Amino acid sequence: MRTAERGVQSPTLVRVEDLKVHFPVRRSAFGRKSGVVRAVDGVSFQLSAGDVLGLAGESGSGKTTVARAMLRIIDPTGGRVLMDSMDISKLGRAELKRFRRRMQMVYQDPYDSLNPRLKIGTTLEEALMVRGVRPSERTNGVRLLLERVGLSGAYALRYPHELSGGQRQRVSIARALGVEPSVIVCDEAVSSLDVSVRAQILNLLRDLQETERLSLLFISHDLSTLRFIADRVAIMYLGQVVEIGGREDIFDRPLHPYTLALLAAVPEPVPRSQRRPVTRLTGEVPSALQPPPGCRFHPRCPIAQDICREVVPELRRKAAGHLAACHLAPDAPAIGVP
Amino acid sequence: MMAYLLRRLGWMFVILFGVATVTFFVAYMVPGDPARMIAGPGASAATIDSIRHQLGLDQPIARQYLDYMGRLASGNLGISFLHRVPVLTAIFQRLGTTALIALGGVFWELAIGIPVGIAAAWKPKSILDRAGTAFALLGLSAPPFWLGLLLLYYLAFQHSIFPLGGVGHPLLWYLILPTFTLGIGGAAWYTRMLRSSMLEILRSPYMQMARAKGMPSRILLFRHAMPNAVIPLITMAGMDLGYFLGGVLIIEVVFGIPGVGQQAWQAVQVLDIPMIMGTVLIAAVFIVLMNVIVDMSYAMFDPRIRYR
Amino acid sequence: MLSSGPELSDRSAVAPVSGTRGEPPVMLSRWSLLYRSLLHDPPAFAGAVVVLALLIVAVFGPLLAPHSPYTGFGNGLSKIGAPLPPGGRFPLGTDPNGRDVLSRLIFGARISLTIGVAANGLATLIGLLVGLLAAYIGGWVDTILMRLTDVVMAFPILLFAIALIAVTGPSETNVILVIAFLYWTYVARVIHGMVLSLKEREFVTATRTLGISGRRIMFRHILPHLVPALIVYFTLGVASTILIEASLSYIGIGVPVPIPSWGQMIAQGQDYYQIAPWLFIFPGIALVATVLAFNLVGDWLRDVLDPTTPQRR
Repeated sequence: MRTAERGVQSPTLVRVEDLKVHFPVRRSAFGRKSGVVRAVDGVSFQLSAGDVLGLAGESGSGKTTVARAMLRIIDPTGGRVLMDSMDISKLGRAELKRFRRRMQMVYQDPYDSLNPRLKIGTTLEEALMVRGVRPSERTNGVRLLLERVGLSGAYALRYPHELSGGQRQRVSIARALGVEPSVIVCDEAVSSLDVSVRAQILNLLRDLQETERLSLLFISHDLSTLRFIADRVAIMYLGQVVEIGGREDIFDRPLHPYTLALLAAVPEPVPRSQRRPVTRLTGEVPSALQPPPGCRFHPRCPIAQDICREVVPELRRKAAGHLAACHLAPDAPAIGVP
Repeated sequence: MMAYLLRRLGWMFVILFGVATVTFFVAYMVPGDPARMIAGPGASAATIDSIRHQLGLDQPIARQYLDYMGRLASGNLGISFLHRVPVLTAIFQRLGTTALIALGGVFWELAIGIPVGIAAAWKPKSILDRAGTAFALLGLSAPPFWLGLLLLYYLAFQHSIFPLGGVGHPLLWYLILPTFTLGIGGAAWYTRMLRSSMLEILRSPYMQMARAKGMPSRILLFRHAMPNAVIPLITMAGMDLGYFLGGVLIIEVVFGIPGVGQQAWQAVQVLDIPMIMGTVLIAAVFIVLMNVIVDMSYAMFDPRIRYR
Repeated sequence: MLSSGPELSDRSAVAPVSGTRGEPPVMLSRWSLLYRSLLHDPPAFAGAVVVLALLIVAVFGPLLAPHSPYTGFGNGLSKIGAPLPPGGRFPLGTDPNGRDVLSRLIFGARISLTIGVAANGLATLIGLLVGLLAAYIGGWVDTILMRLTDVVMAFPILLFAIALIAVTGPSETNVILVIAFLYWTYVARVIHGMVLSLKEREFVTATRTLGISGRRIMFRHILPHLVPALIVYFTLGVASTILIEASLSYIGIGVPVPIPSWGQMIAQGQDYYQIAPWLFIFPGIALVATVLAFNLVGDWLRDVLDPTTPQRR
């Protein structure tokens, strides 16, 4: 049974506060910096122990950048990432190494995330190395890791090119598990896989998450995947979180127009007669160099009002555990269960 | 664009500075006593000491270094032990001849390299291609000095078509064999480069499309493939020019040409350090300058480079 | 042709080769594939044969040479003291000191190969370290190392080598060291470029995120990807270093006189070209054959191992 469903309050493992990642742009050799790409512009959320948080959005929304900033693959420009009340974004090299054992990542490309010239076993041994496992015990440890992700120990002697995409992702998951993290970030981990394989890997992740009490941050542009695996979902648009809530909140009672549009794009096996009218989203995600004023979504929003063009909406509580950044969604009453 | 230019020039000075420093330390490392060498065999200790003092050789190394850099800044490369004239003057006197050889070498590189390269790419695997490739491989593998000797032997000695080295009237006639020998190596390189880059271009999708639409091969080759492939070659030739200007020592020795290289060679025989290191320094300066010029002309043609 | 499909250097690479007329496909190991590709490329095959022959000559030279290269034979000169033409007791003739040319050529092969391989090996090692460290560590380490590379590259190789050897004294060791200290820059540049792009690969990011040390990543992860290119450059580099050594010996600033070096033999033969042209022709042929062989093998290795290896200047 899922932690969230049990209704038990679990401790917050990771808290992201107002995270900002800006990239300077050198337009011409004349000026040094002629613009800033605000890939992530003030993102906040929490990840509780045993929870699966989905992070959704189109390409360019900044979701991958959030993941990389959390793991310090790139350095944040502002904001904080707190884990064990330590600010990850400010850690020095030695502490960073220790932190790495707490949070790991499974990457999108199964073909490039494993070194093609190393045997699977060698790749996995490195995870064990980080954990401090003695050399004599590593072979056994590798076998155990492989079995945990549903592969036989014989795979340790194979090379990545001998494995299918799904198998490689299992290896990547094994690698992440090897250091015994509390949090695993899955960055579009199943997006490159065939749909049938996708289901297998998602099931594996869910099982692992339950048995090992892992917390997952699951990044995907595909909402149907998130419906399957996530307890809570955050929707990102152009570097900001526009809506965040529990699974039922997002999928059954979406508030933000962007969420509605994303959901409309999800194919559903519904007979034609019962289909809801679809709000089609026009246009493309604008450039993060010069985001629109006010609500960033307003140029594409079918119900935009004047206030949307002028005032930036904040992420406010609209219902229990359900926040949205839209002027047109009524706020929740002050009293109530969070 | 300006910022790129300034940055590039800045680095150029850094490199030149490094070159001068390295040159200084090599000259400093020389075993033997320069003062004694200048003074000559029979000089007294007092003379040697006074010469040493004049040359500033009794100063600590840091001081010598600063003096050296100062002298360089004013264009003073020292006095040749052998000839007792300023090194810079001696080099510049001979630079004309060497420059002619350098230019001739680049000329042959392109004059042979480009046609053969194009011919080879024209019909891959044909007789023409195989001959061109064979020529290129041989040109790359043959030692230039040996090639020169061979040419002299057959074309000047056995059959007196060309003069047996040296210089005379008409000057260009005397320079044909040396420049040809110099250029063959580069020609071989360019043949191969041109062949492979043209083949790559010809295989690209837009070329195949043009051919499918019926564009005649000749136009494809000359109007479309060639210009793209040749431009890098021209710039490489520019860099070769800088390299050659450094004194094509081997060629000048083989053919007996009184240029900068031959002078440097004579200096090596007697360990005339100022002349040796002065020539090395001038050569390096030419190379660096040509590199910068080539880079900047690249930047002018290819806007992407400027954004680095 | 072999670059499609699994990379050749993967240890478990096997390729089915279908037999003719319904025979079951034959599984070939990596080495058989290499050998077959060599057979399909006649020039490369010839080159490989020559390289092998040279290695044998270099190792077993003293046993193969008919005479000692240092002994000036009394009957090695004609009645008027001129070198003998090829034939009879001295298959390739004698030199002005009455020494057997063939023997000197054989010993010269040892010298050229030893110096070429040693100098190139050292240069490749230095270049690899510089390029790898500069590109991976980045920052000011990268700037300093690459500017150093630029400074060294600014010097014309031959001229500077001549100056350095003149200053330090001609000897086999000095020749090797000088050539190595000037030649490494080419390797460094190429390796630097390759490592820069390798650094961006996802498995490097993943391994770094795991917490693995940079040193291990450089040598256990990145270096194996550099090996094919290194092999190619090493082979081609031997061709270049042999040429450089020959030029130095020709000029007289290479290995000291009694030791036979092909370049030096050419210089010596040059004075007698009118009466004994074979003296300068044979060593030259030996040089061309050697350098050509290494070039051919190097080209073939590039086609087989990694066609994407950038061309080096």
